[in-house]
Amino acid sequence: MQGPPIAEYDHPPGADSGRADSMSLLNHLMRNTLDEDYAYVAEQRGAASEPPRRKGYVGLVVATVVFGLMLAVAAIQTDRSRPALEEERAGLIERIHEQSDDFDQLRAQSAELTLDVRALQADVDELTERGARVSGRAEQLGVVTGTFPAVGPGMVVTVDDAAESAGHQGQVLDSDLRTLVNGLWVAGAEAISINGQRITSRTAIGSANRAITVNFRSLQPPYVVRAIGDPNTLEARFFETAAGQTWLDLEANFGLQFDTETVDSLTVPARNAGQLRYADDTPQVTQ
Amino acid sequence: MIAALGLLLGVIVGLLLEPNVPVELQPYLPIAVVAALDAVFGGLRAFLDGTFDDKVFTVSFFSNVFISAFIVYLGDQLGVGNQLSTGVIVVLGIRIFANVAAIRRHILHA
Repeated sequence: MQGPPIAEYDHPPGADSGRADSMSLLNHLMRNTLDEDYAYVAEQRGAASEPPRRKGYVGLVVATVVFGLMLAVAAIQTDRSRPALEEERAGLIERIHEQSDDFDQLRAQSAELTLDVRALQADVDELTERGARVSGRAEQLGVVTGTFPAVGPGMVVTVDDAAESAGHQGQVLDSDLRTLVNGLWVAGAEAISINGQRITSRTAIGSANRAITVNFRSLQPPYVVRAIGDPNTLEARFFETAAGQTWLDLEANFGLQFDTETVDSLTVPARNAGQLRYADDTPQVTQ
Repeated sequence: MIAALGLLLGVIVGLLLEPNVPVELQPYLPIAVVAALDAVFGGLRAFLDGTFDDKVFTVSFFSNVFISAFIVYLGDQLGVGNQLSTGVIVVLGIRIFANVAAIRRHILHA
């Protein structure tokens, strides 16, 4: 079947010289199909005036068989992979739905938790305030009970044995110190220490081996009693108490040294509260 | 005629045997098929032009298949496999359309 020459593909060289270079690539592609090879071989053969070969079809058969084989295999392969692709796609869609549900759920949860956080924040604020109040109260109480150090104005009472020790009578006794401390309480003292030992509700002033012990520590004279209280009234009120009178007598009759001084600022140390003991109304059964 | 028979034989053998393509070669089969299609249409056009040559067809067929597959393989190794596949398809597609246009002119004289 001999057709007419195909004019479109036989442009003279330089026909498209006026066009842009990007177009020339496409034109080149359009013009240079495989036919060039066939044309070249045909031309060579024509020049050698050989008749066109008609015998060798082995290559053609092999190539077409291979081509058919490739077509069939490619079709089968695509067909095989289709269910897998579908499955994959369905799986992805399912996962998208799942994740979307999860997302909604988590968002709801997040909103819920935000409300919780807000409520808890309010609780925290309230508790912080209460904590501040409680610790303030604990400090107030601690100053009174002795678990907090106390700082403030007050008076310092210094007592000592008589200068020329007249035996037992010229010594400060534990009972004298008890009297002094109780008198200071009566006079309105808020915190008292003797030689750095804080007097609390659980302090015992006693004696052991001819030494006075406070909080089970032996003290050496002179005994410096620091009492925090109203500096305007503490000293005056102390001398109005029976204890004040007792001490004035002791000073006058036994020569004990007894000095009082009102100061603007003094510090009374804290004492570790130790283990608290509580009263119990259940009778202990002893066997 | 022989070509049509060969094609038919190939398809039948392929469908009957269902040969398994190695996994490494699977991505290159479609592009090889397109390249083969180009060679086939080129051959058909040459046949209609009266310049068909068995050797030229065979060589062009196999070189097309191998070169197209090799280019895509190279693209895969370089990380531009998809772009190169697209490029090869475009070029082969233009050639196929050009050849088919020529064949159409031969057959329909239009």
